[in-house]
Amino acid sequence: MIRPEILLLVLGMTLVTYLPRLIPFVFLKADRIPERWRSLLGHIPHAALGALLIPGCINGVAGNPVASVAGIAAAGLVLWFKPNILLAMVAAVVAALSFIEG
Amino acid sequence: MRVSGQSRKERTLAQRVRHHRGALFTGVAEGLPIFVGYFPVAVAFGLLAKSAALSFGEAGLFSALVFAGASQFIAVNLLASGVGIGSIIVTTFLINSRHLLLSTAVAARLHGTRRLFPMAAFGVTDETFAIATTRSEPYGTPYLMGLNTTAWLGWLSGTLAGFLAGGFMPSKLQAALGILLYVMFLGILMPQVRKDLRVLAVAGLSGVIHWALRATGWLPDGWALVCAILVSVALIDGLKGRSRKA
Repeated sequence: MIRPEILLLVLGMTLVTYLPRLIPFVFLKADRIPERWRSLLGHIPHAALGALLIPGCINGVAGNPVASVAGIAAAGLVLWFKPNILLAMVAAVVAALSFIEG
Repeated sequence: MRVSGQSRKERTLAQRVRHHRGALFTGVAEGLPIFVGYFPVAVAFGLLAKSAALSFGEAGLFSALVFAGASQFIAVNLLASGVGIGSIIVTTFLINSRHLLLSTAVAARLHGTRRLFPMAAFGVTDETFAIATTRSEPYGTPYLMGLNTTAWLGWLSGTLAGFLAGGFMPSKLQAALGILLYVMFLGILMPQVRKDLRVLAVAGLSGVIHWALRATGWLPDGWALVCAILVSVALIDGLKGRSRKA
């Protein structure tokens, strides 16, 4: 069952989310972007990841900053030696679990 | 003559299909960590949707069409507290306008059929953008579609699974799985940091600015993120420009 007002809400949210996603694809030609701008754009993902990690990762395990930091630290340790995200995920969950009570 | 011409054409077509299929699979493979990272977060969204009295179909519709994590959580929260549809849509726009930035970076390195661009654009998220733009080689639409679709499937299937079966998962494990999203971010960033320490400077600076902005509460969350990204990139670029002149 999908209520009409929820459908309206989802369609409205879809529109305002999709348009910013679409516009650069339509109006941008990769080989026409100047070198300087390309280098700037290259830094954007690193900045975005930094901002997503700090301060968010403190709340990876909701309401438990100690478990969150333990998990992220374990993942960081694994990733430093081996660039294997899935392995780091296992390490992080095991480390976080050992700091969650109950 | 005609026959040999045709077979040459077929061969190149077959080669092209094989080439595209390879790129598609590369995208799917690189999307798997995103699938794993999204799934538990989407489970949490499914749980929230259920507790906010949305139906199974409505929860699925959110994840299938909007496909933007933070804004979905916020929207369902607002909906549950009785906020009108119009303000929820405006809030969503503020949070998700940062996709302009992400899409610009993704599109800047994209080659291939422009006809498929509208479909590829639909799947741009913080995570697919991060994987695609930190690759060493440029990519085409088949790669991007493979990457995006894998991520989208993780988000949608996690939402539905959370709605249906979230109650069965031990709450301790459910809490621990929340860390996966951040492990994914770190996993993307770390190889870049090892290659070039300036990456650490940009990421760290952006994180500190974001933290400060969130602490002051001057800006809505989505704008704090946009602001942190723009300011840190501009600062690093300015420093680079100065050291080049010196």
